[in-house]
Amino acid sequence: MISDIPDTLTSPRAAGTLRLGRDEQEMLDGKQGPARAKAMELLVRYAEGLGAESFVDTNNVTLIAGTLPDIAVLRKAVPSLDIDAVASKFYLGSDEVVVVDKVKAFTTSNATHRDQKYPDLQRGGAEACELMRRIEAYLKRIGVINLLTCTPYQSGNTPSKGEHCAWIESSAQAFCNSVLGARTNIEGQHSSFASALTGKTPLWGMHLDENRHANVRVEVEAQPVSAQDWYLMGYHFGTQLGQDIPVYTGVQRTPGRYSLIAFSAAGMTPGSVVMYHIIGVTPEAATLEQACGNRRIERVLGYGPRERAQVYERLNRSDKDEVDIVILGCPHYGLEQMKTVASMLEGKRIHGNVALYITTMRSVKAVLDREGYSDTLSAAGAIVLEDSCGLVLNIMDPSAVVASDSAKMVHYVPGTTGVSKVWFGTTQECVDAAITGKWRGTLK
Amino acid sequence: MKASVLQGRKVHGGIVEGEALVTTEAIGGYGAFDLDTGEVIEANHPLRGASVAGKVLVFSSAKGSSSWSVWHQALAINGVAPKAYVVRASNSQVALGAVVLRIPTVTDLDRDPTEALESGDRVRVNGDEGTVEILQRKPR
Repeated sequence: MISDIPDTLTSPRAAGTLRLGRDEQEMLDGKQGPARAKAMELLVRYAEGLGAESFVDTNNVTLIAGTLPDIAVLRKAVPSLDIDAVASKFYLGSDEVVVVDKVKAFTTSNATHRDQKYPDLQRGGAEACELMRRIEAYLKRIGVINLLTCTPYQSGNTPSKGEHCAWIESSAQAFCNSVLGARTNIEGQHSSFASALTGKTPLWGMHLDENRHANVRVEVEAQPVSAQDWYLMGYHFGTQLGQDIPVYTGVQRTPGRYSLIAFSAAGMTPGSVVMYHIIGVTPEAATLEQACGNRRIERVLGYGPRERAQVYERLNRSDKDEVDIVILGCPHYGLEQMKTVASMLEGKRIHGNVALYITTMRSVKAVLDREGYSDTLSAAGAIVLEDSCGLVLNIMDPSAVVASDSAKMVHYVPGTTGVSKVWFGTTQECVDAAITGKWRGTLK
Repeated sequence: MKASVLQGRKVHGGIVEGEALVTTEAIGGYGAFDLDTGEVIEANHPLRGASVAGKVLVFSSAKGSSSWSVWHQALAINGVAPKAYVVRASNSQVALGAVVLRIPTVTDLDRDPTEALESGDRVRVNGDEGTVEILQRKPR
């Protein structure tokens, strides 16, 4: 990727010392305005903390702008809730209010912004919806596209292989690196916003060839077939790998795109598997040799029926057969999953005691509306939420039982909603639970 | 180097003294804490029930949602954030959290800090020098 490194940065330099290119120094010195100076100052401290030696240009950034603490916390820091002050504090970590003109990089924003049609269903109610409406307007003002999805690659932001990105959202980061072969570190709110303003990200970690190679080999015995199987395997190794990069060998059946989304989400939920290889499937793993590069395999792990059963038990944490809430669409369902669930629900009606929520992105919702699937889902009693996330649902009763086809959702539900009883199953099992009000999921 | 000093590298500068709260596990952000009290609420986490408020948080690495820095910043605004991070293997989430909270943070130490330190030990974290000094062991 040498061609992507600016000329000013290819001169010899002391190891471990951050060197700035001319435009980076200009931004830091405030010659491109106070907002870019704040952004560059944050990126410089961040790059030093990482041990990076230089920056690389990026023209693909995603933000997690709707992911903010409750308004009470925001008010403690910014009593007026002035949008430029909120952005300065919560996106740039700056007590000084800086007004952003336009972002430099192509930038899209993530979900959690709330579906404005259902204020009462989501945490923070009408007040949070109003704040998110103002944030959306702010992002538009500074040139960010409000895709409002955790799967931007399903909705118009699909990076090319090798492209340097600065992405937030754990499942998307793993998908970006592993499935698309593009390059992003685990960026956060503040670093991605700074990258959007400057078009720079530290040349470190996943941006460098040598850090993308596998050092752990996983021999897959229990063949994953369904998306649920991929969740189970991904979650299991999320707890095992730390920051190691796995290469999965012996996978006999090519996973579909939703299985790869599930697998990307799973490894990042209890862990940090931001890069994985599957021989014959992912783009940097045509062979074991390619996946490992110059790195040595330090550990060999197995995945058999015993591991699969253990992780299934770990994820299912309910002892009640009743189900009160079913949440689908984590990460955001694309067209195929929405169509699948619509066909499962066609002509049926969900149980009177159950709420069924399905989250997706506004672009997919627009297509579903026109194709008639939204009507099918709505007739069955399902609520399709756009721009939002199942984890911002306002669940009033902590004794409620939640079911989901996403291991990520069932992992996060207890910490974010107060609910402790969760079921994890296949999409069909979840839809059946929505119809009958009973959980009958089993590990097949 | 004295035996009571762990030598590593700076992630973020600054010097503080405080009581260590140690876990051999990784620390999350989203869904990990009661943001009002700093108590760890993540299911199955070994620190569940303990508060990170005002502690020198000693942990293996960061994990989970990429909104890590958002929730650690919320802890800081509520006055219940850790006062320093001591990390066995830092990553981008820790580095960004340290930068946003502006707290002393060290990593890559010559001994595994999650083994060398125990909860209750009094330590001095010098982010600038990349060191952790054990001032007083918790009575055993």
